[in-house]
Amino acid sequence: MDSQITLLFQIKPSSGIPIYRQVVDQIQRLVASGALKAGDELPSVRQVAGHFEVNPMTISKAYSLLEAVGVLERVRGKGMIVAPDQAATRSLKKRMELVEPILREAATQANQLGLPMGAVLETLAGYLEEDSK
Amino acid sequence: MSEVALKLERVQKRFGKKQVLKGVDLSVPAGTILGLIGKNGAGKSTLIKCLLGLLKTDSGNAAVFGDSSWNLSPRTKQRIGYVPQTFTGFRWMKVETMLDYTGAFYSTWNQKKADALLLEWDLDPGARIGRMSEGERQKLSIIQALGHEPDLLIFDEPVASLDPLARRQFLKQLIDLNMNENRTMLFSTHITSDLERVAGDIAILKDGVIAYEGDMASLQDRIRRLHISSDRDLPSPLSTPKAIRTVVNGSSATVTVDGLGDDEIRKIQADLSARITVEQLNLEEIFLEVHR
Repeated sequence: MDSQITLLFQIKPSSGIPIYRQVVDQIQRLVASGALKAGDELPSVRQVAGHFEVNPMTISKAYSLLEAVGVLERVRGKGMIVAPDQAATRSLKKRMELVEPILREAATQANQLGLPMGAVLETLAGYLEEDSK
Repeated sequence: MSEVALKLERVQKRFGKKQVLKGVDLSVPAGTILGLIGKNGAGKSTLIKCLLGLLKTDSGNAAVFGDSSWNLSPRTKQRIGYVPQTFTGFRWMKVETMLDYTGAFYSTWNQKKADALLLEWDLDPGARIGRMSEGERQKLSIIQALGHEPDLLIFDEPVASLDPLARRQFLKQLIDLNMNENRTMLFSTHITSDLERVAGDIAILKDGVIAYEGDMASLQDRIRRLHISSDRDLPSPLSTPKAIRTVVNGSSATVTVDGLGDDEIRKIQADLSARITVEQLNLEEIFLEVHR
């Protein structure tokens, strides 16, 4: 299970992004991409907190938030699983929302550097193609 | 309702002319890991000593598990483990003798646990304390404080002389104790990255009062840095609501804000017709920002 946790997510304590946010974002992305499927069991709060040496309350807060938005479901005896109905998470709109902050940030930086839109879009298109191979 | 482990109400403490604590209010529910940060000389150790009844407060109330700090009952004392800033044991003793001595004071002393920690932390039970390094003495202090399995652990700069490996082992211990046995912990430190990991709540002691208190995530949501850039020169002075520090440099500016909402940020963006990027800060940066 330990190796599975490390494969699932990364935690960077000093990145400036609250740790619970890091966990929420990563699990949402994993579910949206299909890497985590409906019914998959998540490592327990205890395992995650112990593995990354972070406060258990932080992880439990992240799980509760994901439960509240319907990404995860609490199952007696099993802990948290990926909720069976992921239609909401899988919708195009929902998935777009997840990349929006990074795209917005990229746009700001490109503008600050005075880059032409065409060149930026072309580069992004290149990365998209490269990554999907 | 969970039990209140620590409580300070309007606590004041003066040394000579220096008013160190100017009315500290703090309430810590049982099961919390609270990180206490503040500049050198801010009064972190004084605050801790007032809580433990090692110093008498000039005014206000300090209590541990509802028991007044200045008159802690033996029962409450048994529930506390304390690691002071500097080693206070006997340097002429051997490690095992020191632990025997400490253990004799507690009815709940767990020798098995102490032995396991000695092994894990690579301390030789037969070593003479005076000949050990500062870091090894710090490890021993921590074992002394954990050995009787207290409900409340108070650490004053516990990791200052520990190497990164020992520090991580120590943090792991804290997490395990908190998770398995719901222990309450207060620790003061300058190593903010450790607090980001393990502390549920953060308290910043500044100018004799608790300037900020809350969970790590809400602190990060409150104190943020805006990078404003415009095509024209920005007004100077630039007045931004809830700003705690503003630096304007022609058409760009950096503004640190305390509790400014996203809607308000969008409004500023529109008012100035400028671009704003929001930078999230880590605890070290937040610490620096609130002290500038």
